[in-house]
Amino acid sequence: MKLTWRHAQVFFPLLGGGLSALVLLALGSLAYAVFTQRVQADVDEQLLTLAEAMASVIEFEGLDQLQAATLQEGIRLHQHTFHLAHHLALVLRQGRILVRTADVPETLGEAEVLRWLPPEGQPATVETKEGTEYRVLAVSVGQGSERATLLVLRPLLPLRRVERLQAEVLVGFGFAATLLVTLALALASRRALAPVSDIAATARRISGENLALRVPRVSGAAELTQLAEVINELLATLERSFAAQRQLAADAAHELKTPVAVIVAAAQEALGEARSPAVRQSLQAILEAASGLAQGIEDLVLLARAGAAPAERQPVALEEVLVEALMSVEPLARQRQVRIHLAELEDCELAAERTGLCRAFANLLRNAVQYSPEGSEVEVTASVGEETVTVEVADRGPGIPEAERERVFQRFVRLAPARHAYPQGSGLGLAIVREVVQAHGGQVSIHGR
Amino acid sequence: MSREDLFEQAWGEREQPMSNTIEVLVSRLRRKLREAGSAVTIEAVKGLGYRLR
Repeated sequence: MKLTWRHAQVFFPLLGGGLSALVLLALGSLAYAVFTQRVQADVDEQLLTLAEAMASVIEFEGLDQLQAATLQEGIRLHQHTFHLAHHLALVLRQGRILVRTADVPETLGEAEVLRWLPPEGQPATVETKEGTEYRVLAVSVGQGSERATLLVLRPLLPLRRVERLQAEVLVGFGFAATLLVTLALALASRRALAPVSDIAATARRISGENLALRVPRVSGAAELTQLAEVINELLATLERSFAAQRQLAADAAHELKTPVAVIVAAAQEALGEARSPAVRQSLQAILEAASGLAQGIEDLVLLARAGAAPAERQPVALEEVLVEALMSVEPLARQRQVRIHLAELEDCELAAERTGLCRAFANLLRNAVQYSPEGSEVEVTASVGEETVTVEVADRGPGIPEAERERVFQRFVRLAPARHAYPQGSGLGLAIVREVVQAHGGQVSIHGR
Repeated sequence: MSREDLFEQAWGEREQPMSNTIEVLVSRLRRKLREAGSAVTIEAVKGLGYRLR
């Protein structure tokens, strides 16, 4: 079976996987946004704490005496006290850098700082020419002409690393979770739906002849168990009605048998007494029609029986059955001057229901002889394979049009030429052939020469 | 034994059969005899019938 997205076992896993991917994406983005926001608030808080502390250090030391070492020591002390991350600081007066801590890069000159100097008291994220990111807070220190600006900087590289790692982890987990959900759903839906193919396979095998078959007891989704039960109930009902129909046919045939036999016997007796050609002709017609009727009834009985319980099989020699069938059409063959040639065949034993098989071959032969031109030959060949036996009956008759080759095996189907040539035929002969052959697990078909 | 006699004995009909039933049955009988290692053989007599030997 080729799977497309229309199959539930493909569609639901994809739907589930897609939905979980969407949900995880939304949740992940939210978590990421909340995290980065909280981190930034933390960073700003620390900047503020440090800036205030450093401002008071600078006030105490006085701007003129301010040394880089003092600034450095102040930062070190406060970072230590407040458990702050690594910070840099510099003091800017009248557009010139007054002091800076040693770890402020040389490249960070006045021009660079003035380019991105944020308004006082408002933390901002800046990027230097080299591409280094800092969170920066500027506060003013000193009074009047002594006024200067203290800049506290926090390198953002470590934070960016953490953020990146977090994003990667979130995406990775999202992928894994989506994959897991899809896979789990695929497995589960496959398991749950497995009984469907079982049910379908059984249903396909069920025909009018083996209604005794039941859909397997499935152990999948409860809905399917229920479905299987409903199908089985339906099959049971069908089987009962089929059996009733068969019984009706059998009973009817049984009831008809005796009167027809009486007609045949009476006609034969009357034929023996009758002298007038007109009467004889009528009696002959009655006899023929009644014989046809008797044959039809017999066919009906056979068909009704064939459909019922499978008959008991016994080892049967193929050749014996063929010869018996041959003998039964001998009178017809003589009447039509058609020779039947049975090709020599290997010994072959079949597990078969003898009477039925005999009847099937006889019907085939009768059909062949009936439609053979007078004086022609019917050839019967059998080839024995490993598991199968193929019997071929070939005649020189007009053949059957390709479009009708399947139809002629249906009950009561008779083609126009046959109805004309043999008005008494029942249309059951080939139906019996197929019934019997199928009951033996075989196939029957018609081919042109 | 002639084919007609054989046919009459077996199926109660005197007329020439329309099928090669007898040939098929005889060849089957021959094969069985051979398989059983029998010294008896069935010979065909042209235009007449069969002879046991």
